[in-house]
Amino acid sequence: MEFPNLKNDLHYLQNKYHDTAKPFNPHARMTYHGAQCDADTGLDDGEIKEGLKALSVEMASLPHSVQKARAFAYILDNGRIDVNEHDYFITFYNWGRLLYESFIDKWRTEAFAQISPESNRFIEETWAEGSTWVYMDFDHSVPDWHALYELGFPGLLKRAREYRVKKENRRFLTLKETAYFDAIEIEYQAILRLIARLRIFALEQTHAKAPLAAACLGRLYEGPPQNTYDLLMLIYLYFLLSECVDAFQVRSLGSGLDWDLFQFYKKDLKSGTFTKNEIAEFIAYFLMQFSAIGNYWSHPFYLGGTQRNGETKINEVSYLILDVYDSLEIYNPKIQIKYSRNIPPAFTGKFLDMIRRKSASMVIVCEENVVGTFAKQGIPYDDYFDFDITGCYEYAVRGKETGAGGAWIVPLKIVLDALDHADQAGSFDDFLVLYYNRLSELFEGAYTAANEMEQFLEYVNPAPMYSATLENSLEQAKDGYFDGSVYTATGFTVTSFASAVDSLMAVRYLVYDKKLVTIDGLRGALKADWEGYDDLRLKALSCPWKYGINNPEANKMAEELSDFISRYQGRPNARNGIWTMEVHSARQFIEMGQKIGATPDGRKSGEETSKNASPVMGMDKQGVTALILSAIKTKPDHFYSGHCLDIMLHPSSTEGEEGLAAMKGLIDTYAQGGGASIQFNVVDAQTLRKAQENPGLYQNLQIRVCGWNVLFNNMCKEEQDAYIKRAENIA
Amino acid sequence: VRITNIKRFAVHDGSGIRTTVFFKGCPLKCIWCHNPETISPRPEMGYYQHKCVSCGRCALKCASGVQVFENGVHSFKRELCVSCGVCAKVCPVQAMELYGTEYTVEEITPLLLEDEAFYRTSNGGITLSGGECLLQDGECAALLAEMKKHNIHTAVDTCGNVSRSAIDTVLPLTDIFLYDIKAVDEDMHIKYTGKSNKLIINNLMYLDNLGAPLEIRIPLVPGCNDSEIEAIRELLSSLRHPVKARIIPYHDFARTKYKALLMDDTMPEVIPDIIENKEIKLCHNRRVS
Repeated sequence: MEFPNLKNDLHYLQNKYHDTAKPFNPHARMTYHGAQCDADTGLDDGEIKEGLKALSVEMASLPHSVQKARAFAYILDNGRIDVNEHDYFITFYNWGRLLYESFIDKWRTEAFAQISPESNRFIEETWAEGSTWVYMDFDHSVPDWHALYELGFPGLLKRAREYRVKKENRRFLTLKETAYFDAIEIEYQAILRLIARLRIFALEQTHAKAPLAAACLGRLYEGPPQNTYDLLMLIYLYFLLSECVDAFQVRSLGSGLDWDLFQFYKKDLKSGTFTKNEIAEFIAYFLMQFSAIGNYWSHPFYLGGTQRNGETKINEVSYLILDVYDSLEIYNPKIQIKYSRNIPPAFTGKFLDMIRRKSASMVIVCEENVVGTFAKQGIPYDDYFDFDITGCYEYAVRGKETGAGGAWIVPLKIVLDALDHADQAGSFDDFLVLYYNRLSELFEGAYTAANEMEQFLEYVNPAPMYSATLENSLEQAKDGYFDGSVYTATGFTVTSFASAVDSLMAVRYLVYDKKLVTIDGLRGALKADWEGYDDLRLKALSCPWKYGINNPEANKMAEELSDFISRYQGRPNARNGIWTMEVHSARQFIEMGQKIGATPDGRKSGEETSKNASPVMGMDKQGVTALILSAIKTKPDHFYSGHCLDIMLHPSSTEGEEGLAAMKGLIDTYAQGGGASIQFNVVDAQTLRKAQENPGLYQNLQIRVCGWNVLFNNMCKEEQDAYIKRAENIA
Repeated sequence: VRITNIKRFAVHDGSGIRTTVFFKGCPLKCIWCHNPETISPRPEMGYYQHKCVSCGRCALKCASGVQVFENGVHSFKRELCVSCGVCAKVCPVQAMELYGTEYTVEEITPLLLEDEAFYRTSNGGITLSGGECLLQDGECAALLAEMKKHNIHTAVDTCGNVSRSAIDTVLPLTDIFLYDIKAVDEDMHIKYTGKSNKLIINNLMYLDNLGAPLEIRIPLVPGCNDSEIEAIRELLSSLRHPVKARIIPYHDFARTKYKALLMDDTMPEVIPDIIENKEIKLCHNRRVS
């Protein structure tokens, strides 16, 4: 698939958010600027920050929601803009969450001062030792996209006004409710003013894309989107303004981008508004925005799903999006595929082929098992059948649920804690009791601290823009991200799962079964970071009970640990919702690993832990089928908010029709066993070794790391070595 | 059952996801063989010198004085080795590997059933391969019968240079034969495999006459038997029943195994990108007898 315009525009698009010729740290992506905007169109970041500082003093006595809304409006009204000849989508220059400094950071500090000293101590100590990270999460918002599509920005504002009037007709609004509606009014008026400003700017431009953009902005100023281009612009605008100005990360781009677009696509083709090629080009430019922004986790959007009548949502646009994505040679955004029995085989063949050809950035989400997790929570089918995927692997009821993270839990660290107190543990069962007691204490501590912290979500970062998309929030006049959703979930995310299982098994093997070392002796070896204990470490590393090889002993341990963890689901959070559990790692397998000393599984101090529900690197020595059977034992469908397995395949095993059938067989078996999300690396050790030796020749070689693709060249030598080791096992 | 390996997630040994059992012993000695460890019927040790870290663990355990360390340098006295495999068990870096382990059918069966769920979702099953599995035809039949108790699809990968009775033994229990044809020209066959192909072609005709499901596999080695492709095509077209035939691309990844086994490396040089792994089209002569 080729796009003649894109060829000329690619350089601009790639450099829109940062200069690709200069070093780029994706973890600080918002500190960069790429394409410049005319200074006559607004202020630079420094000037805006100064203005916000003054505003924060001036508004200090106002409710936080109103303060934030005014700050938001100030940025939109004064920011620099562009409607560039090289882009179908608008540019907003001041995209660095500028209101953090004068508002959110300040309020966060104030919030921590109000949290109990016990909880503050728990948060600090467990973070320092690497056993938990209790945090405020503003990174998993998904608006009710359907409301946005139906009403557009002006319609959402009108609806909010109607709810306000309805409520005011019944009784006086409380001060908090007044602030809630005022903030929505301020933010949405500011959005409309920005759209109007962009439209006028576009009308003043002479390039070919300007009239199209101006017309689109005109329609979005007036009401809901009318065609595919409008829809993509709307999604992009909401994303940009929420994520980059309002400081709420927008995870999925649309509620199934293919299905959302399909409704307009049919109309556009019939009316002749756009051709298929033109629509493909809009999609290409749309995807390039997210590639250029460069979020380190690869920004997600999902395809497919099941309609209310049980039929698949896969349609012409699903294939078109894959074709466009394939031709762009990008890995960001990433694509999540809702996978179920109704998915057309041709579509499965197509995305699997992309994965095997270029390790395409895709996550396969077993839809039938995910809907099962909602059913287990007692949520009605009509609410969950078209659930949203809200993060790398998390899911939520579309338009009615706000899921946020609350704490990371590192069960590996607790093995060390248990060892410190295990002198009296005469058997492995005794040791396990000790372990579970310590783990339970950690959960309880994290639960208390996170619930306390969560009470301040609205105080720290109120969410007017997001709230206006949620009908229940408007009805209740409650902040959508805090307690205004029908359902709210707070996630405990468990990382280092396999490392914990392997370490527990190693304690049993080395100390209790083989009696190769005492508890004290093992502590000594770990304290010495295994220095001088090579033989013992070797035995730990070659312990026959490893997670990932379908070993019955390790499987039993994994199942037990999984049961223990999932028991904490369903407890009340601080937002009238529940706590949920998930198993994945983001970057915590590195960050927490750096803090944790040597562990009984043979891991050395500071090394990364296992990631997601995957085995310790290099320990899946029985191949992919054994790994999947082990992962099934962790009962992925018991975790309400996410669980992901990474598998690595040798390219030769994916060749031909047999290869595709085998990949499908792996997914189907995992799905039938209760699997949630699964993702592939298709790579061989030889290629990785060559890439390590000659990085220049392999600049585009990607590896899937824990939910997102990274360039192999960007990994440090130790990480590269770990992947090579794992790849050697699959040869 | 004497085998060298059980490979799970085998995807090119019949339909779907399969587990392949590599039997030890082969009547042929193809110069391009990429499983040289399966040729001899006897157990043997592979010594991967490049992996050895000279830790000395093998020498401590070896009762035959095979593993010798002089001035920290490891040497492997193959002539003394009885292939007991003790050294492989203690080697931390897999520098020693035992090829040829005895299993009972009862021991192998659960290993083959482990991936049953994958066979079901992918129309896969198990494949008996080698070496030449039909040199142990009784054991093959026992294993296949176990698989049939669980309604698992079975494939037998054979070079065809086996007795008629061996074929008859497994025939009722085999869902498909993966049947190797290397050359039609007898002299060429002898040159590259060490044996005549008469028995192989006779057995092929026998299976065809019985209507046994067949997939023909042609290891086509550039510079060796690639001139035979037309003759093979003609041979297959003369079969009574249509068959699927597949060219197996040649690679020389097995050179380290030859070295580890101290065997003469007979593998031809690779001429890249000449032949793909693909099905070949056949014009079937559907005669009705």
